[in-house]
Amino acid sequence: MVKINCTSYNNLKTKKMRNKYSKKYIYLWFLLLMLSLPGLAQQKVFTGSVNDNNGRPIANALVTIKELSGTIVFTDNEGKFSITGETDQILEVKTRDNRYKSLRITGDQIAVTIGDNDELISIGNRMELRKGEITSAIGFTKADELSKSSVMNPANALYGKIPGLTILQNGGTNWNNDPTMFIRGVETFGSGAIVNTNILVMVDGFERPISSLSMAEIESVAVLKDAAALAMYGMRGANGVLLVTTKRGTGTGLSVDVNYERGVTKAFRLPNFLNSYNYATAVNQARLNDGLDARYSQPELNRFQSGNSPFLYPNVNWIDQGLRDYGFTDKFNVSFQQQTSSVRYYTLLNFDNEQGLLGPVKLNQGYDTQVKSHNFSFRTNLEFDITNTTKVTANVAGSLGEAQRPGSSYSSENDIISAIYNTPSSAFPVWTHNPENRLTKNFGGTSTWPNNPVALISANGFTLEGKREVMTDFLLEQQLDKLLSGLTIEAGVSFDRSFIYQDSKSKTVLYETLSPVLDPTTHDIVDSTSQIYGSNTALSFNTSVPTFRRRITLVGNLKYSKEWGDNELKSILLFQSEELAMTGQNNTYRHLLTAANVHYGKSDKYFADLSLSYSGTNILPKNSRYGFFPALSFAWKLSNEDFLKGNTIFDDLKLRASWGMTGNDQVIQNIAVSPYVGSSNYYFSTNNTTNWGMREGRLASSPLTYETSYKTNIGIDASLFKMLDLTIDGFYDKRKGILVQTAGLESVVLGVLTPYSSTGIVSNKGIELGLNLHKSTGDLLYHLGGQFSYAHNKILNMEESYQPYDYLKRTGQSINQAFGLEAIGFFANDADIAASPKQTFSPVRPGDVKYKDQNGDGIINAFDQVPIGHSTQCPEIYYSGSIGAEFKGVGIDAVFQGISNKTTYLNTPGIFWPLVSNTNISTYSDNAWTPATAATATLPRLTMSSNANNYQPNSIWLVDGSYLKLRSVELYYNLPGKLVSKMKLQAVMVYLRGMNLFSIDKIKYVDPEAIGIVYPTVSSYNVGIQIRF
Amino acid sequence: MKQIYFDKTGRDNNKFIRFQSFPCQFGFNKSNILHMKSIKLFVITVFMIPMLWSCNYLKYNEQDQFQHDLFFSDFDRVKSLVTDAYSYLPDDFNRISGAMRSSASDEAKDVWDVSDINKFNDGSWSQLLTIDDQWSNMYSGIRSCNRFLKDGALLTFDDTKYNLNYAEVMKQYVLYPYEVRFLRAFYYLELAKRYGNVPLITTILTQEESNMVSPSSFDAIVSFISTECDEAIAHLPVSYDVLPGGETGRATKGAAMALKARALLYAASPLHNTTNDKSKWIAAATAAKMLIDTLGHLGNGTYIPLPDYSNAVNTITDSREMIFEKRADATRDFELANTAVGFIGGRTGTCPTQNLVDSYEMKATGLAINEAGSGYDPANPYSTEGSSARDPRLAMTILYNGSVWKSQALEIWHGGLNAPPVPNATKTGYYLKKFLNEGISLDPVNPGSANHYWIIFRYGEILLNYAEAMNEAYGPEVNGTGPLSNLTARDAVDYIRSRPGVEMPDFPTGMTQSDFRTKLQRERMVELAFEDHRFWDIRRWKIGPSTTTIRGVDLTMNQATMVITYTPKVVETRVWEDKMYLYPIMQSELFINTNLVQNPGW
Repeated sequence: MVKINCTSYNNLKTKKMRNKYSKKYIYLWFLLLMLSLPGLAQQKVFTGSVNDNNGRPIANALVTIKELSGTIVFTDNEGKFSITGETDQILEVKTRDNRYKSLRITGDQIAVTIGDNDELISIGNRMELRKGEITSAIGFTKADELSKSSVMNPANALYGKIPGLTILQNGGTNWNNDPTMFIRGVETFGSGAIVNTNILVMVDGFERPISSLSMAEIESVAVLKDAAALAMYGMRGANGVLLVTTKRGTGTGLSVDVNYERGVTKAFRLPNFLNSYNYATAVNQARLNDGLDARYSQPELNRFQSGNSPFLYPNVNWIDQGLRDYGFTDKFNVSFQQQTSSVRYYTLLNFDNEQGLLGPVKLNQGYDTQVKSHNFSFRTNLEFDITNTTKVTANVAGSLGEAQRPGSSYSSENDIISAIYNTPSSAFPVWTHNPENRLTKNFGGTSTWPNNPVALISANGFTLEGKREVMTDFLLEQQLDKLLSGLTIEAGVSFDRSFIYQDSKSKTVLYETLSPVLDPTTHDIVDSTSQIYGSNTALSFNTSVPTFRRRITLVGNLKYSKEWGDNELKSILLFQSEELAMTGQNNTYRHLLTAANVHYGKSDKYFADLSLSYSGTNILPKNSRYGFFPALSFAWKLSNEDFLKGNTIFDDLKLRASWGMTGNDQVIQNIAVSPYVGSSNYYFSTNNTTNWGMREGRLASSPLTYETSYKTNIGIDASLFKMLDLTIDGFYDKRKGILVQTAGLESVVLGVLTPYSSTGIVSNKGIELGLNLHKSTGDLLYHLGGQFSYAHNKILNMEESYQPYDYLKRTGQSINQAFGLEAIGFFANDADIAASPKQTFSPVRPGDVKYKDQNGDGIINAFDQVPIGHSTQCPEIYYSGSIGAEFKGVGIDAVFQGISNKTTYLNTPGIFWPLVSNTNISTYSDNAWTPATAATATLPRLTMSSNANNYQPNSIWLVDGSYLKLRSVELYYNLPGKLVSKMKLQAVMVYLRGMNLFSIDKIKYVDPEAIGIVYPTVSSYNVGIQIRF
Repeated sequence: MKQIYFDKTGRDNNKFIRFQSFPCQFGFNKSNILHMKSIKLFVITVFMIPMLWSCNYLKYNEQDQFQHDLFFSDFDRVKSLVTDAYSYLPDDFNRISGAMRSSASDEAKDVWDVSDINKFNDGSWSQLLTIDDQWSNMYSGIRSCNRFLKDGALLTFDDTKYNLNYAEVMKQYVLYPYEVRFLRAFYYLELAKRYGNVPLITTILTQEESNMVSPSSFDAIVSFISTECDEAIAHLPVSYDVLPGGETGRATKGAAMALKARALLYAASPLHNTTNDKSKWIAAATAAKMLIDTLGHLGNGTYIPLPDYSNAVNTITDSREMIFEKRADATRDFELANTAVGFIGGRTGTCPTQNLVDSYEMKATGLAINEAGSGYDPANPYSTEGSSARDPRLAMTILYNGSVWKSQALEIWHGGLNAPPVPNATKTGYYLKKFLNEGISLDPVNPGSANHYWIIFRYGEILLNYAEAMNEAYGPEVNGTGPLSNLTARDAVDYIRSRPGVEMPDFPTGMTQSDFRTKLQRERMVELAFEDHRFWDIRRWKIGPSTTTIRGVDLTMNQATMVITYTPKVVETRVWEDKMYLYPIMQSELFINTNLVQNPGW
């Protein structure tokens, strides 16, 4: 016996052995139980029912008796169950949506009521609390809401789902566009490598990118917002934490879910560029405005207009040539799940396929150069009880994906978009037919515009990007009730690895410039000349591994819970070490964390939490490597007080308050010392031999520390009138220790880069509001939701250099506040210019932007910049609304989401800034100044020069970036139960779904979220079917 | 059982008994106690394994950079600090936003409107919008020099004492301090000629000190340069050919003499010599003469004017005219940027002006084109033969209509291959030839490249510096005293004009000092065209207002007769304000350090 027990915890290697062990152990257990109990109580059958707060029965809930592991039953469709046990044992009920209740068996009939407050919420760091007793600010959403989005990256399903979580879409291909995520806005600043605004994303308790997951496998997403929730993350919590929980096996019997969806994607918005006649006219106008001769004569303009000389005077719509109207997506997934007395499993196989928007992709010898991807991913979440006190969790997930785009590994799909957007329609024909020799057919191109979009797409080969990712974690949980009742220990390890390899098969093509030779007087075409550039090469092959990532986390924790009288205590002591190693130098990050939390509840009315963490990082030098982060929080559940008992308004009312600290350690590695670094080379000897140079690097930054965020939060959770859920939070954060550059404080005669300093301070305050109304009347169910987040940050210290005027100061403004000149119109004529303050950016002509002289010194220069609008980084206001209704299986759901208080800088050459550096001109410039339209013009004159005066950041280009988007709308039909059961199925749903269908905004020419030259964002129309077997 | 689990740890057995009694309440037998122990072991293991390595776990660091002591322990690394000190040397190969500084003087106009170089010309540069701001860059170079002189100058590298090459290494090493002092002096001239009075920093500043430095006067800076050069002259070798390593390209005795001569000439010039103190001119002449007498044509002949004026600048390593140059890797960037449109890869950059073209005198008479009897033929302005022939240096410096480049005659008449309305065609009617390496292929399929060395000092400049200083000190044909007693201003300039292949007539005798000055200024513009002198000469001579009208020429060809008509035109009227004689110091520096003084007018 002894021997078996000794080995049992360490050597559970084979199934056979485990079985052998289990049997003996269970046998032993029963033996012990019999010995331990004074008299064997009478086993009998209890019956009961499980209902929600509104008296609706809850089907498929799991009912167990704590003392009798192995006895599990499920409620039927009426919420009824019967279970064999004994009086005084603890009955535990867990619903499929993770609501949990335990109670002591007293009578023969057991009525269990489970409300929303009984939902178990993961609060991070392997802790779970019932919703009703949480004292911190946590927002969450669940699979049934998220699954109404057709996305490849689950982050793109989170728009407007959780108050306080700001998600901003980015351009790029659908499989590669991680949105920008902020929790409660931004409260740290800097530039480049010295700023880390990334939130921490944890999947099943281990740090992992959310993009590694598929939508189907996600059970719930929670957002930790205040110090009470974040202090436990030590140096990693200050930007907020997103917790993703994947699905676990639930339900009686095996259930198999199959989902197939076919989608059509379409560019959300594309700019309109002028045709060649209008382009040439605009160029002439611009040159006229510049005081230069017209570039094109009238006969030439006529040729553009008539299209009679398509090779010498082409008119090419490059968007039509380069992009097709529609792309396609396919999504297929199948999952299996089951719960038995000792094993729970969930297995998912998921396949995504996406075909992009490029047009001419089939012009090659057999291969297709479309921008496309396919990705196969899988997950198996396995939990089994190897004894009735020992639980093992093994999760394995991964993906095998491949993405492809035209061109070499150095190019990107954005290069193609750049060529499509910034090649004027008059630049050259797609193919040149040399008039003298019609056999030659080359791609058009010129030295000014060497990139023929069609050539880039179809004739430069392609690059394949393969991604392999594996995420594994293994956890062992042991109840130690024998040591101390309520004590549990858990140990776990996760090992994740991903790498991307690139295989490029690329080539180049030659291109030809055709130029007409014109009679100087009549402007007739008398001849044409041809100039060939570039060369046709064979495909060249190149393979590389640009990205490799490895993450190892070890975690151990000790949990203790105890109930006595009406007191409740839950506590955890946690230890965690993690390492992330990526390709390249100084790209390895290690963290250690020791944390403890004590949760105390009294009478289900008063709750308090104390969190402490001691956290260390390898990024900081020895003397500042560790930090201590405490937090304290309280909740008062007023609705459980006597004076509110029986009121008809509040079903539930809770007040919360928290204060605490959390950190952010992502500074640059190795800046605490001043090294000697490589600098420019120089050349000596008659052979001009290269000699390497070295010099002093940046001066040592000291003292150096991590950022500390001091967070205060108060909140209210309430449910009213049995139909309205309400959450309100108000917060005030102060972030200290932000790494700032002191360059503005030191004279450059120092001759060396100045150190950084950990002295930046930012305050951040705001409110969040979440509102959800759900009601059913007969067969009609409807719901209405609204969310609103506001966060306003302010820089309190940034070691700013001296500013001669107060309005120039960045200190006191929001992070990345837009600054620019205030435009007060356009110069009407030379007299106007002479009478106005001197503008010093470049010489001005009539039609140029006239600026306000803010300081009245008669000179317009950088000292006349003022704050315009809001921050360009993160909107202060983020809101959403959802609406839905269902009647007899037919339902509709829609989610709108919008932002406000953000400024967008329209500085994209070609789209917003016409003709600059030989770029294109779009219809955005239609209302540019000309002498004739001077009174109504909204944009400065066209010009061919770089015109530093007009293209300053100013109130013309810094515009309101607000938008309201229809993120998703879904029409679905659940087939009637009778029909479904006739087909031997459990449930069938068909749906039509639209994503990102429209936007209301002031930036009408491109997607307000993806300004600039990027692969277009898409709208999608999807049709799908879900079947449960 | 007790023995195994607890006695070894030295715990008392009572504890064990207590421990035992606890589960016994629930009726556990002995085997369960053992079970407890294994749980305990499990708990300890879970917490201890990570704890054990946590002590060193966070020490992880991939830093590979040298700290101070390690850095200075090795000769190669100390040498690399000296190499770094060289890397701040300037060139003017399209350094300013893709354009040559020449395009900010009346030598040239850059074809690219977007280039920042135009901000010099339209007057939009300022202390807030600085162009060619070398303030930061030069002080970075000076810090490297100061760092070497403080920590790297007197080392012995004992670890390598018994290496076979130790003696050779040390022969190079003992020269480093003087090379570095030369470089530092050079960088101070770069600062002073831009900003006038600048802080003289010869130590390693702390952050606090750097915010409190005070400017030294221009004269004090020049005096510092002069004394530093004297030290360098005394110790640096004439050439590195014979030294271990053969590292030509390093600062030589001649370079230090040339720097001193240039610095003193700048100090004697009207901008910095408002009282026209003759002694300053004499000092400048004496410094130039020192080089002429020791290493020049009156000395051992290390430096002589080379016959091939046009190629002298691109085959520099073996040029005997070159005194000091900025070196670079092999490229074709300068050719790509300056080759005329119409040639493969050409996109035009620097366009020489009519102002410069008109400065070339007549080969036969030695007269300027607008002087009576010069022989200038407006219908054949670029003639190379007969009485209408121009100074041969015109054809060596500038590409005009009909010049043959890469076996192709340039067509600069309206409608021609290299002329408007072709986009980016020349704005002045001329293209640059000087410094362009004709042999480099610009074909993207099979591109070529070659070394480009920027001339910092060459012997021609020294002769012109000497001639200018002598004229101002004594007049065109008067000898001075002492070392200045055997070469007049006129002799010096005639020597350079008579170089083989150029052979321009001598300056006439009997010129007034003022006439000589005018003609010498024209000579200097021609001889040193595009060598980054004109921009500074305009300033030190204070002739800014006379250089604002930038002229060019339009060529039209009568298709029937093939006769070309030349129509002069004004390409640009530039803004000149007297404050532009010096650069503005960037405003942020003045905010930080109130001891600094902005230059007048800014």
